[in-house]
Amino acid sequence: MFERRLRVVLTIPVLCGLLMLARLYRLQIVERERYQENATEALIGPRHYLPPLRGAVRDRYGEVLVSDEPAYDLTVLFGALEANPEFVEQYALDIRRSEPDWSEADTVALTEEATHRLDSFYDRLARLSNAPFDDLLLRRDQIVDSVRNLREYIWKHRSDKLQKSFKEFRIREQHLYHPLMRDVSAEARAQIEMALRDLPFVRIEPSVRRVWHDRATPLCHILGRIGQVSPERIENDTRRGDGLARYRAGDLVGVSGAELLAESDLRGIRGYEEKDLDGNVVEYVPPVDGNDIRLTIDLDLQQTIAQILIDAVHEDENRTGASCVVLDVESRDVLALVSVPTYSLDTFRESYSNLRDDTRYRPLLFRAVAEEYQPGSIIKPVSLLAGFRYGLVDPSATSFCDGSYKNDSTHWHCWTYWRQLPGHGDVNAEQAIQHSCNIYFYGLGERLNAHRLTSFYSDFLLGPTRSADESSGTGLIEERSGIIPTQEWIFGRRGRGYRIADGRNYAIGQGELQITPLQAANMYATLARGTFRDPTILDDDFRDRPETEIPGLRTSALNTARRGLFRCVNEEGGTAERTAKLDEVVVCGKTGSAQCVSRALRTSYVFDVGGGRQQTILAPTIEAARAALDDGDSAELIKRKIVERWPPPREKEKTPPPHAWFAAYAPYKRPRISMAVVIEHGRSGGQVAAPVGQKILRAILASPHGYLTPDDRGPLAKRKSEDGA
Amino acid sequence: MRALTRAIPILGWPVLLAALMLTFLGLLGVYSAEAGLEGPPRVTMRQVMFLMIGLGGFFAVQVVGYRELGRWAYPLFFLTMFALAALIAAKYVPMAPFIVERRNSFRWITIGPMTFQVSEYAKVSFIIALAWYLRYRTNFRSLGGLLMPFILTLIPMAMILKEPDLGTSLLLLPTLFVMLYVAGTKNRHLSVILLLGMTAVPVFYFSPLMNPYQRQRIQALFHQDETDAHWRLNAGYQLNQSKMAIGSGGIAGQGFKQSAFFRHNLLPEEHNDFIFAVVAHQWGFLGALFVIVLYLVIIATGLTIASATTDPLGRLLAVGVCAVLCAQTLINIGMTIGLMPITGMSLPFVSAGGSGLISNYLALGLLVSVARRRPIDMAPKPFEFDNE
Repeated sequence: MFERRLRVVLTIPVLCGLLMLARLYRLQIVERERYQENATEALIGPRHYLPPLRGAVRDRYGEVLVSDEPAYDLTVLFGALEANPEFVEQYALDIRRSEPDWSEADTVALTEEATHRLDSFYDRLARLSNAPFDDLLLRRDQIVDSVRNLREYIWKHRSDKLQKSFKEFRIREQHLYHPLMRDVSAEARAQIEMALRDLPFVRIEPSVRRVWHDRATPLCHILGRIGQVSPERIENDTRRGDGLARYRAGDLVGVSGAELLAESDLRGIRGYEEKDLDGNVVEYVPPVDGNDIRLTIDLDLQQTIAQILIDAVHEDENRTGASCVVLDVESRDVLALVSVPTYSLDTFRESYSNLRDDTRYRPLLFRAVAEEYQPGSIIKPVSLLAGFRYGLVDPSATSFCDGSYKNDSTHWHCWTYWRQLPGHGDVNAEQAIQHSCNIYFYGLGERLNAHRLTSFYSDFLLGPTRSADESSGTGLIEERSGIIPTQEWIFGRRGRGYRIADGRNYAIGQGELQITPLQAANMYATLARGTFRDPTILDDDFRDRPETEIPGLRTSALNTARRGLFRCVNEEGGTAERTAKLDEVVVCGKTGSAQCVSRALRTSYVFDVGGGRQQTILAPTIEAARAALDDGDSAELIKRKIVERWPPPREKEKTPPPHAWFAAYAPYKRPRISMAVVIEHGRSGGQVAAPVGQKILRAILASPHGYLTPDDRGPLAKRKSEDGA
Repeated sequence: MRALTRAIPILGWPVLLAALMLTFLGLLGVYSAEAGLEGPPRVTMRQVMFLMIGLGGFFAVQVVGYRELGRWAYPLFFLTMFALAALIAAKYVPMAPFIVERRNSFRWITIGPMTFQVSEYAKVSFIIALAWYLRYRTNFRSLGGLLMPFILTLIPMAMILKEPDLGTSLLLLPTLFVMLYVAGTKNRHLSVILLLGMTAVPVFYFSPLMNPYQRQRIQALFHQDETDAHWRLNAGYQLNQSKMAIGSGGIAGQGFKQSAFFRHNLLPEEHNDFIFAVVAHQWGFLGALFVIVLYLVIIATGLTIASATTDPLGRLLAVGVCAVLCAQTLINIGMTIGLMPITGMSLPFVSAGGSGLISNYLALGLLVSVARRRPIDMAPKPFEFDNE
């Protein structure tokens, strides 16, 4: 009967065999297609994103100033950068799965191993690439912080649409690879690829790098910089809905200058590539490169003017910088937008703290649009026009100048007084501009009063349709709109209304009134053309920027002002006659010497460093002072005191040397070019700024692009003969 | 040739040929998995060498005969126990270069150029020892007599588990049970054992003897059809990849050496534990059917040999060999197709690995050796008890 037991035993393998065949039937025949699909999918590698090339920035004539070149980044999965427990667990499982030596290790040992590999990765990478270890960690922290901030930002702004708790809330960036090292060189790349093959969370991926061309330095402020995109921009981006086109944390976007201004043109759309494990491309979506943009800047002119300004600044140690703007009068294309000193974009990152702490020359300052100066006498034609508007100027009526203005108990002086020169005598409107007579304008400003003056300035400088707080002009983020001290402004700042003295001051471009060099150049373009238009640095159709009439501006008044400007440069006694007159072309211009204050060179900062202790740091900037502290970010600033100023005070003079202005347009008839130049602490508009302006005008004349041509003198000769007749 | 036909009895042929065919299929599978890599097919060459050694062992067993081996049952058993004890000791006392840790476990003893996976040989010596003990019915017809077979089983089982090698240790219990059953243990004794075994399963599952990842693998079995990527990527990864390989094989398979699937190592342990997936991927359902039929041939023939012999030792040896091969095959194929949890278990005759192949051919040698001694006497058949 135990033979029966053998038969029973035999039934077990037979039954089990049938069961297995049934299962195999299901897997291999019934569900075959599904598994075949899965197998095909499993053979496709991970998706690699392909970065687009950011558009190039070109000058007016197409010369490339900055462009993208293909490069390679070393990217790391976010989970690995953050080394969060989820990732460590996942990675531990990954090790068990892919490495037979670990296939049966227990979880604790695996977790330890995974943590160890994550920790030692930075050290290994530092040794392979010669990159400083601390930099890698810093960069890692930056990435982790930026993704965390983005996550918080999105949660805060979109939480109504999501049901999950913040803890479970994940953003896409948390599953992506982020560049830990940008622009890895070819040799380092090969080494890293070989050595770090065992780390699945590291990739070498194609990328781009921004390259500034040799001659881009004079345009450093205009071109601007790229930097990491902020959470706000990711969220408010118009392309947010498109997975490939949208920004991702860590993307490099324009953060200043033209890079920011033309961001929507310059940015591209990323593509992607999927390869099977044999390396054949399965799916390929090419990236869409950004569009090139063209600036209105003439590189050659910009470079020439920059050199002229640099030379001018170097002439006197008091001078700290200079700026010049050249506009096309009709289109208001900015042909040159120069700020000196400049800096090299290539070495910007390394030299940043030096540039920032150079409080004497402030190389980072984009003077042409971002620095506001008292305009001084160059505003006088506009205050004259304001007088005309309110019927307070008779072009033939004269004022008597003996060097002093005594309408009340205070004493006001003409510029001749400080130079121990005789007064101007009887001057009419044209002569007042020609000689830049303060006495004439004190009276005018007083009669006009500060309110009417500033509202006219506002129309003239910002455009008649704008209010003072609206950004005007080119749209550059650096651009400032100057200070037009309207009644509200004065009240807000000074806590009082206007005084009689304000009108006198504003009429000669002093007091609170401040404008940028770009505004100065545009002011002279408006004087030349009689209408206002916004300037631009982007090559566009200028008809899209409307030309607006300025209320109450009459041609006869304009002509009086223009004749004053003509006489200032071309007739004897004009403040720029000896220094700015050109034989080839008739220039109308005005000099200005704007009183100003000195700036802090070094400041003593007192910090509360905790525990009731105070620490005093002598540094050029607050950032430098904080950097010198052990725990600079949290220390509270208690007080600061400027200990050193530039220009240094002198015994003889109460105020530092004034800023020297020269603003002009040319030619007198059918004006084509307007320009403004300011030399910080240049002392005298007539003797310093006007010769520089003359050099600049010569450079414009010499340009092969014909902004000004010598035969423009023709109409003037005719006009003079008409006048004589 | 004549010598060969004389050396191998009629019933030995189907067993040996089926095993050789399985090994050949295994060689093709290993070769195809290896062909995509650079360099000579090292694993395949080594496997051919192991086959030669295995066949040598097979014939050596024929020469010695199972009866003579039976007399050495306990010394052999103690030898393997000693080796197992050395492996466990190696965890605490370094024994390099003889015993080194590989894959987080101590399973191999290296002597000169040879490496032994002791548990594979322990399997064979366990069968011999158990058959040697059970050959007298008085030894086990009482509950007390059943103690000895359990000691013979549980000691090696515990030691193999300690290496750790869960798969091999799990083979011993079903083998014991089948041998006891065939030997004629009383039904009620068997019921008690079965009941005890059943209650031991949950205890074992929750005991610290079980690693968390082993538990996860069992859980993964029940989550295998879920779409949740968590199981598919973690504890269920191997099962998922194995099913993908097998399922995508279809009816006739992807063809020999045709698939990028193995070239890119998408199936871990493809040479060893998952060789069945390689076969089923390349030759499809038909290939898998062929493999299963080959195993059924071996087991059915083995049980026929058992039934034909009158010698209790021979019959128990034959049944034990069949039981161990059958259990190993069931667990291995079962785990590749998602019917069993994944344990480190090779497929007899097919998987790459020296000790496994050699010990399986040794076991097969025992089976064929039993077949050689056909009964010629007219004495009453053993194993007949009238008091059942």
